[in-house]
Amino acid sequence: MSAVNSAVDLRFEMRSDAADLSRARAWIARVAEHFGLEPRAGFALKAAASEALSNVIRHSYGGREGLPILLNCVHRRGRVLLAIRDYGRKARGAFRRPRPPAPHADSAYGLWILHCLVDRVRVDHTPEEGNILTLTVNGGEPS
Amino acid sequence: MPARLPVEVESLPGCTILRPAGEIDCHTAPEFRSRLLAQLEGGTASLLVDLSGVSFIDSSGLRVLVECHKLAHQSAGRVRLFAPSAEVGEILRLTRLDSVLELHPSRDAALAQEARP
Repeated sequence: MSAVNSAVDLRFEMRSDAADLSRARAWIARVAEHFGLEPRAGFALKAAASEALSNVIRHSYGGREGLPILLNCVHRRGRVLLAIRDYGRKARGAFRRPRPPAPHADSAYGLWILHCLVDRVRVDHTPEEGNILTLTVNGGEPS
Repeated sequence: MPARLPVEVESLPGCTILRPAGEIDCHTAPEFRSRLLAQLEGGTASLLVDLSGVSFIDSSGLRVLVECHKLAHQSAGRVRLFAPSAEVGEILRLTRLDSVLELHPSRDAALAQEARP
């Protein structure tokens, strides 16, 4: 699939409010199309990012609403990188790959989905820049 | 205020079909949960969930399905899911819930299973 050259803002700002998740997913779908990701890879990025954003709202910001979450997407060396930045509690090992959820588990689905869907998950933290979670999917092409 | 997640209810002899429409995430999952629990706690023993109108589901939605599945089993009832989109089906497969929850490709297949003794 070739990249679509329509103008898409590659930065997106949302608040730590679950009501904003749908808007964020719609933006990720547009960006994925912009970079020419195959539909399956675009879905993977959107679904993984949605889990990541829910985690940021719930854990990094402790459920407090109205706080900033910044998203930025680029294409580099054959991959699409989506960076999710927040200024909440230090992420530390919060995004480490979990074990597969047990049958009938009540939790642990979110991180599992996240890690299954994307090719790489990286977490960085500095006191100045906060947490930066970068999700990478292979594919697409520069816009 | 409009519902965050519209859910149609269809009552049939012996079972009830719920048809949510839209995205199920941590914003809409509480409403989805309350609609399912209301049916189960109201005495519906066999609940069918039509997923054809669900364009997205995240882990919050999965937790609701697992909770209702367990609750139904405790009272000798059942929750059957049918007609998931490719994307919703992939999320169920990734989490291996396709082998835990009762999943059917279509309404007819789910109702056929329902009719078995």
